[in-house]
Amino acid sequence: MTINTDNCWKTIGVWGNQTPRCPELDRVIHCRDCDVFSKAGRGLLERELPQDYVSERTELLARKKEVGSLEVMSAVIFRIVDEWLAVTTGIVQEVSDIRPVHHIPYTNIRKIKGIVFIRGELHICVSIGGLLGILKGDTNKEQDTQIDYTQRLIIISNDGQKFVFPANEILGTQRISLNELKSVPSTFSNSMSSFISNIFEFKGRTVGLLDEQRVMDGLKESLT
Amino acid sequence: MLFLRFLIRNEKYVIETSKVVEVIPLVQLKHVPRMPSCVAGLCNYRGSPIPVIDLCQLVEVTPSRRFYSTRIVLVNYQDLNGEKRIAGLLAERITETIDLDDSRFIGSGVQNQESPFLAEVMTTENGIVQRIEIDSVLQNILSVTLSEDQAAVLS
Repeated sequence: MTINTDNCWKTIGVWGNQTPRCPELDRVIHCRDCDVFSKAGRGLLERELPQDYVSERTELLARKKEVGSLEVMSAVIFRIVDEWLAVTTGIVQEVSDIRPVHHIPYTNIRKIKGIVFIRGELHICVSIGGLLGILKGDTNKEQDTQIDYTQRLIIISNDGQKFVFPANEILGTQRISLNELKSVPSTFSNSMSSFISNIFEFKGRTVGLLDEQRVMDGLKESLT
Repeated sequence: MLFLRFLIRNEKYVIETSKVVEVIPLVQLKHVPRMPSCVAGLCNYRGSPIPVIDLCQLVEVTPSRRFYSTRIVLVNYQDLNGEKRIAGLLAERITETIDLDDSRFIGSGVQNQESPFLAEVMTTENGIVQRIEIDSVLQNILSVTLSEDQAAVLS
């Protein structure tokens, strides 16, 4: 059993911000790129194999390989008022903190909330809740007057067209197996089911997957 | 071309990664009696028996030491009948792959008829590496000695 006991990284510091500083760190910046470090790591493999490890690996190797469902999609799950919705990650460009939306007069107030500044760019802020008819005309619910720290702005872009919409909460990017997707039940309201392509269960919540093309088209329509 | 590097008694040898199916940890092997000493045994790979050759035993006549870095390389090879098979090669310190220029391999200048699998060599920054001809190793040992007996053992 041989282990490299020269554990210089423990005394010098892996970033070299302690003195004396290792001259090698000028070249490699961090210990993980240094030969001494990687050799010590490899040295850990030069140990005798315990018998229970061998037995465990033998048993695992004898089993048939479990192949999980390879067909998965990635989606960003978010909440608007009390509806959980999702869009495919491919069209999400950015998730930003909530910020003031400047109302534009003479627009469809139910679907177009105004314009918003993100990274020096002007974006049109729309209401997915308004488009889907979740809000029943009360678009202020998407951005509560009381401070809600879970609120975010989601920027989606497709075919060069960008929109921003507020969501009350985001569950992040999740992998969804394609065979978990179910068709939309007929009990969904008409305005909603026309924009939702599938539904799926996620941690006990029923999530509606937005049909990106129809949503984009619907949003473009409301601009004119 | 990418090569898998391993050690046989602290000397570096390589095999082409294009022939490698998988590198697996050292597992319990079923001993096969009355075989050349380099036949380490049979391993149960996803339900099928795969013969495993100990390269350390074959090349240096000392068995591989049982370390974490001693692993089994599963390789594709063609037996003498031209059929595609999988076999395992056991060697020490299988921890690195290296990218080598295929055309820089040259004859070692010494050749033993009993070890035709020890092929060309190349000088690198970290010393000389020698290439091992998998097909030669496996055809010599497995196709001739093992396949008939293996069938008998498994039936």
